[in-house]
Amino acid sequence: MDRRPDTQDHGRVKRRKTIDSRYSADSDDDGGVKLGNFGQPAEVKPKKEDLDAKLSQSSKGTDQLAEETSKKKRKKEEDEDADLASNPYLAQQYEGPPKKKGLDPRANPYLAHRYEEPVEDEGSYNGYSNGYGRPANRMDGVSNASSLARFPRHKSTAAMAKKAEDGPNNPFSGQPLSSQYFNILKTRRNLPVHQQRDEFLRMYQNSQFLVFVGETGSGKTTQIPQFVLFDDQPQIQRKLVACTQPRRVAAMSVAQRVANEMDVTLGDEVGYNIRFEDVTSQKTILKYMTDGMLLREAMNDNNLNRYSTIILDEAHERTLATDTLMGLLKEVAQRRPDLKIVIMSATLDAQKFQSYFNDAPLLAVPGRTHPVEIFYTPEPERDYVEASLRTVLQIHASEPEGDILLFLTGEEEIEDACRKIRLEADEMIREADAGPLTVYPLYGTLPPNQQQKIFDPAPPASKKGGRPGRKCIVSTNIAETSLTIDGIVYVVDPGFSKQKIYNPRIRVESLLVSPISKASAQQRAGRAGRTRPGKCFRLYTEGAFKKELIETTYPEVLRSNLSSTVLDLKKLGIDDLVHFDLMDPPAPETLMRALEELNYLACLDDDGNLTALGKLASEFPLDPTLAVMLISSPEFYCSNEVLSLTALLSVPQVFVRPASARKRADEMKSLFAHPDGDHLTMLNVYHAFKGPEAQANPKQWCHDHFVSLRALQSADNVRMQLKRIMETQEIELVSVPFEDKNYYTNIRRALVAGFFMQVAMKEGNSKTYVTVKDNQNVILHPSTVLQTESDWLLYNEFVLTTKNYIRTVTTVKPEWLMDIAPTYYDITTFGKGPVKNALQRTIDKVRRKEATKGGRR
Amino acid sequence: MSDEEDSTPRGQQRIFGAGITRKTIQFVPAAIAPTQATQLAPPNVPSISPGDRYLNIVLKDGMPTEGHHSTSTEVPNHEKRPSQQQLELRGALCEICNLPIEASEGKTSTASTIHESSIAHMVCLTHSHPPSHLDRSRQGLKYLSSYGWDPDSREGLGATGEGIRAPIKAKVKNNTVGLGVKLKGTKKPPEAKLERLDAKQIRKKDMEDRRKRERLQEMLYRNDDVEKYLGGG
Repeated sequence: MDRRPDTQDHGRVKRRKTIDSRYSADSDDDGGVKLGNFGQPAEVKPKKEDLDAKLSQSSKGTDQLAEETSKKKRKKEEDEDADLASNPYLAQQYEGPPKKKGLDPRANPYLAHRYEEPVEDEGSYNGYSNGYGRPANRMDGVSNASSLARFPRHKSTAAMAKKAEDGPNNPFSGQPLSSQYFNILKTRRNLPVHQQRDEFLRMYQNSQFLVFVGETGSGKTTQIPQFVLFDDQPQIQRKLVACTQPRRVAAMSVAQRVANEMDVTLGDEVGYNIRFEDVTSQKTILKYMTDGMLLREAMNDNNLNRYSTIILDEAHERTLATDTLMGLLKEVAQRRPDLKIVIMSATLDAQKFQSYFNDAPLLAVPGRTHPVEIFYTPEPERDYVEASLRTVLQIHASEPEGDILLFLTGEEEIEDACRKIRLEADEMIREADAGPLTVYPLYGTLPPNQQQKIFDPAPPASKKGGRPGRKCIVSTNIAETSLTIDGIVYVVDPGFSKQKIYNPRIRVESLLVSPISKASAQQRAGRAGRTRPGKCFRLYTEGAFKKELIETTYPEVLRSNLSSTVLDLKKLGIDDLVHFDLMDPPAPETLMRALEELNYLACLDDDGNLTALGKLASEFPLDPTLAVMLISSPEFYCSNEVLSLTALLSVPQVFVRPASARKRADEMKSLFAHPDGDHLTMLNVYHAFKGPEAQANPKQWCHDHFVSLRALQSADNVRMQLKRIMETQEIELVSVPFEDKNYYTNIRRALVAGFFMQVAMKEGNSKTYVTVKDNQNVILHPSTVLQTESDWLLYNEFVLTTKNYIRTVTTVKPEWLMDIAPTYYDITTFGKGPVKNALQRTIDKVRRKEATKGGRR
Repeated sequence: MSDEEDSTPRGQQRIFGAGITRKTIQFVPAAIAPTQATQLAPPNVPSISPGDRYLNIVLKDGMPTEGHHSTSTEVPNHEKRPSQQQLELRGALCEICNLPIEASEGKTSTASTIHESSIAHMVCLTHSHPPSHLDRSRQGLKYLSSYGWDPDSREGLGATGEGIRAPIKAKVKNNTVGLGVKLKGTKKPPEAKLERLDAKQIRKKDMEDRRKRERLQEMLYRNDDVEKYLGGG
């Protein structure tokens, strides 16, 4: 409670600092900076501009017609531009061409000395090119550079913005605009959102909240923040416009794209800020960031005073961070009436957002979509995988040209399906003279270069005059909203996806194959109509669609362990978790579990207040369990090792086990095996990877040893970033020499400090274990390397299937448990049963030992 | 166990090949236009609800169906009571169910007890719900109740208590059965086999049942303190 004013003060001090530095920069050339110049409302609105706008609109119409009739090449180019908004994968592809075209060297601030003519007094140029750092007389002199000067804040129109955009100088940096800029500008003005710029501005100006709905490809992610910039003029108030993205890659690539569109260097006027990577500067007025980052900033600046407008993009994904942020912004908006908030969503369930944000106005931009014909099966399908494969082949055999998108649930299922489709397609080509069919898998853990392949064009006909080729993409629901692939005409939807579910009663978070929702099915179908009218084949009956599917997918906040979120909220100063206005409040039991877990981890005290450890843990972008383990590791003299282990546990699976070489992979794994368990084995792999032999040729080494180079590299990266936080938080990095007999024991004990709530005990002589307190029967996952017999195991993951597995286990001793986590292992809190008996035996044993020791003395 | 190898023996694996020629998958177009597919069809509102129809039959003298489609017959505090004049004749209205207390017997006290035991009245009483199953000693519950959440209130969290009350249930699916298929396996258990037993078997079965019952009894009603007192356990 008493933290709040503290942090606020802190934020204030920080802010003052930044302002001061800006002032000091100003004062070099001119003390009297007349910022008022910007704020003056333009009283006379020239009518010519309106006319210009109309003219340009009509020309846009003809432009569009021309587009449609023009050749494929041009269309592709244009589509690429449009899709980039939401397509992180395309971004890389995209970055190439514009650079090759060559940026006008005049646009480069570092080369400005070569082109002195446009800049009148070079001496006064101080690097603050977005206007406010400049002496007033220059502003008046170069009216083109300050084409925003006559902009009335929150009263501008599309026509005014258009004029400013037309240059010749960059309205924000004052630099002359490049030819590349004008090329992009042309395509930008063809985007669907551009037609409604005026409408958007009017609604934006009149309301604090605005809900904006536009399908992927409408250009909302790139264009709306720019529309806002022209109207909001954050540079006058020394504020920023923030646009949040659920994914790091998207934030990076979109920022790059918008920097190109605005003809500025990334990191100057336009920047991005993702976890551990801050590409912004004093000049930045538009910042793309992950929603988690903004949440983190809010911890130190409770009112988000740095921002004049906050745009939440991809709100329909309803990630945990987005939901938390929305609840927070609702509170902040009351305290800061000047803050504007735009919610952007790609799906049509916007009414929910509207009513949540106090009946905010809604603006919908039609996407470029075509009708999609939907088909159902007359009878339920007995095997959806087989049915989906057959449907794909059927489409290939009988439907006209157009690519296929098949939705399946997981990596293995997808790879298997790809193999079978390829086999069948080959046969069809041989026997039925079908066209060539290329099959691409697509899932989250696929390496980026392979994900990139899905954008390759479909194969051409094998011989002249033969039947056209086609590509088929087999994907998880990653292709549902987050990624757009053009050319898809047929969608096959079996109606399932893998979804995370959290059960607070047994504290298990698991990924389960579950039926999708109606909204999800609709979204999948929509993927078929991106380029031309398409067809969607649903592998279930229309009755099943109506009766068995829920309306919308449950948001993440209802399906996750909330301990991390609760810690964040406490750090944000939100104590009343009962009445915190989330769009979908979680079940009370889930929240109670989270509070209890944090209490056991000593992040919250018994009254639910944040402890010093809790504050420290919230500094780490980790699950509280891992954070607590890391923070307490110096007590066990192994923080270096635990740091590596934490990094390894936060990346995807290190070991690779390809279906073709399972035996060989297992042999290689046994090279690293530590008898005491998988955690230590992972650590061995990491140490070997960092050794000179592996570093000589890491790629080859990883391939030879069946470990994932990508996982290890990202673990390396995470380790470096966590190390930086540890250094700033002054957590010691210590190790004992490897020869020390307690080297591994220390690490195992440190593991207990975080994972004491994930322990299982052996049941009698059988192979089964029972989890402590939650009493779930579990068995060891077959992937384990564990060799020592042990009654007590600590596990990293509970895998829920027909059998309950525990994966990544390490042996521990009951004495440690009661020593390191005495509250959790308080014997009086246990119900009657084998676990209690075993703990009691341990207590007796320890007592006897101490007694004999005492006797000898 | 997604990353497990296929455990089906090689000979029994489905032969995958020429699938397309074997059986084609039929599709039927959507019954409604795809654009309307998302919009839920409004529930068919019959012009006259069953409740009103019932009242029309019972109260022949003319309770016009004034277009109110309340289907709940157990909430009689609206207009579908006997006409206003009748009420005035009969006397006081009950505060709870808003029905007239019929004073036919003369004494008001008996009349009210008769009324209170009537089904209509009892249905209108506010019901108490069984208390929540949550363990009252839980740390998390203590925190939530300190901010005004009552576990027995049957409310969720959130600004207006609109949150879900129970966590979402996980259903494990580890087969590839399509959506909407009713598995036959689930139907089998109810079909218990009929068998003839002789006297000995019957006696044996009876003993078994009794033992089972006793075990259950002990499990449910056992009290550690009592057993300690009795010298058992």
